Amino acid sequence: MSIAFSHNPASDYLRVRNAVRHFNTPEGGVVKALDGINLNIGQSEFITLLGPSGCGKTTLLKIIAGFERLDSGKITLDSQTLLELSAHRRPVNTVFQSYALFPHMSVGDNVGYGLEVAGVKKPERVQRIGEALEMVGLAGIEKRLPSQLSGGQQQRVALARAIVNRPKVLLLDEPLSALDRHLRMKMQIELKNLQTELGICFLFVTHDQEEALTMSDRIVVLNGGKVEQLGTPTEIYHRPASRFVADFIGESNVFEGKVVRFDDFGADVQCGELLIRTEDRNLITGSAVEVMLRPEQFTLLDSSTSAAGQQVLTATLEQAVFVGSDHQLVCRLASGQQISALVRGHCHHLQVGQPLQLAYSSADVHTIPAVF
Amino acid sequence: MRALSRETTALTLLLAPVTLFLAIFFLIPLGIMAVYSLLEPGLYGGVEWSFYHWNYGRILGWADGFIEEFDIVYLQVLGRSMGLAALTVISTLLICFPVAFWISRLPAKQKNFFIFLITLPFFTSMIVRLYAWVLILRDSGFANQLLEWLGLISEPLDLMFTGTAVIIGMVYIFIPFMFLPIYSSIEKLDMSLVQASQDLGASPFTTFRRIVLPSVMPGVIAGCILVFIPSLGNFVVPDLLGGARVVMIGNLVEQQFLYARNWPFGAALSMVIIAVMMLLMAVYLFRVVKADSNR
Repeated sequence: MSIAFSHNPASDYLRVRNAVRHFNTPEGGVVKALDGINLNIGQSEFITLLGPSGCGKTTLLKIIAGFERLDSGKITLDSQTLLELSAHRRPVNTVFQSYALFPHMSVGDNVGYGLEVAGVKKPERVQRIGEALEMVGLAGIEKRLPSQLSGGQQQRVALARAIVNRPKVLLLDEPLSALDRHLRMKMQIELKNLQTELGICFLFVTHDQEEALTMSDRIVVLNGGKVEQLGTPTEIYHRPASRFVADFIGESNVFEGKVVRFDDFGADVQCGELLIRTEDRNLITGSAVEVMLRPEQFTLLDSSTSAAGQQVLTATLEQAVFVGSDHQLVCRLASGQQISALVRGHCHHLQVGQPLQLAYSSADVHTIPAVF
Repeated sequence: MRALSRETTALTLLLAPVTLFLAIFFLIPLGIMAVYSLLEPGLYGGVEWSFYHWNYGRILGWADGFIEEFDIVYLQVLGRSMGLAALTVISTLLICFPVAFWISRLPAKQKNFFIFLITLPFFTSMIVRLYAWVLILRDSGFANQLLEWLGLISEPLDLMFTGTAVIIGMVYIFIPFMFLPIYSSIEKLDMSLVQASQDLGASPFTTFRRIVLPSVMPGVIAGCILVFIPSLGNFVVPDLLGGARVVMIGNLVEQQFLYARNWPFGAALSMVIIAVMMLLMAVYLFRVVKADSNR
């Protein structure tokens, strides 16, 4: 790689600059589907656009595909400006939420459609169709009609139809949402493997945070047309940049408070009657922050275990739910705030109304700057 | 088993009225026509009950051998009628297809308004609407006045009582019959298929040819049948707008029954129209069945 690049050119493959798209609602309002989005995406990354419905994730995907225009901003792919190209000239392919298989064409013709309109000769076409179908685990079904396939098979055909064209970016618009849970989890792993094998950029849209955490190299959390956070699944989960991300990804216990003391090793945050210790060293006295603890970061203390080196919260047990390997404990603090803890092991002896000692490590306490 | 037979009984009872109605008012008259077409015409209308094949002979050109000479004028009229009906189908198709596309893209409220406009003519008598066209097309009519005012012509155009006038009238009458089936098939068209085609690199033209057209074809064919059949047998439009100069097969039938009082010949002409239509339908159905079995 050229030394002239100060940044990593690999993560510059797909660039979105200040993308803005507003829609007028029939009631006369304005919906900011995209409100100044910036993204840098690498050549072979699995990127997930995650957010609640209406956050702009599908709009962004449609703009990259060419089905929706941009009010202002710029998108480049492999140093080529995308927005001037009409949809059929863009080197990207989409897997649609509804699969959008052509009902009057056989599976083979569906998969070969892109190659055919690109002028690929029949012998090569037939071979590539076969390879693509084999890749998605459906070898030898070229002759069938889409209506003769199950939902999961249709999904795979839609995938084969897109990857057979070797796009620079594969866009996936909530492709797994119509599948049942078991199949969906299987497809998540297959999709990730396929992406690794092909080595092309996947841009995957979903509202399912579990799906995003399972598959992605990096996740873009979108809310109200803005990027809330862009990071690896671990970063997003353990170091959420905002209250929204903390609430949207997984379960979280968030306490609002004020920094009352800081030193070289961290700070003390006063959250009502609670004093929470964090190892965040970037806090100064008097600043308002939110501190977050994931339910699984608590451990349950009983008479036999000591809390050496740990912080302890006292709460009253309100409900204990067995969720398989763990117990989910819903507890109430003296302040009235409800917290959730996920603990391992036997909890049969616990009784509702009983006071519990919940221990946590100050290293796990993540702080989010409070926004007012 | 019992529930099934009860269902069958209910079905029979429900279907009985329409079956009876069709039998009495469609099949029996059709049978009468078929029989009449093979009888000798009575001197003052009506029929003589003796077998007579010259009705069909006359249509095919061989006259009865006494007064008339070999002349295929009736086949020519049939041919011209089919030509006019085909032109009507093509014109309505060319008008309705883009309009249906355009309307299907509008917001729901405007859509319903335009559908209402298209079906609006059904609320008025066809005769009244055709007389309106007489007022528009005649020498001193609206069309000629407008063209003269615009300076495009100095002499009034000869529009009335021409094939053009008949086509205009037929297209006007049959537009809703073409529009509605096409519109409903376009309305059902899954836009994500169009997007998928574009996404896979197909140009707008290829997308139209490979994806849109096959999807809306059933509606187009239904529209063509719904327009072709009534235009082929139509006699009101050529009567009012074509006058004596444009005679269609429907006019021939009308004349034979009402003026010439040759019922058997009129019946034979009707049978020929029916045969032509059934033949076309059979060709179409055969192709559909073949296309289905190829899948």
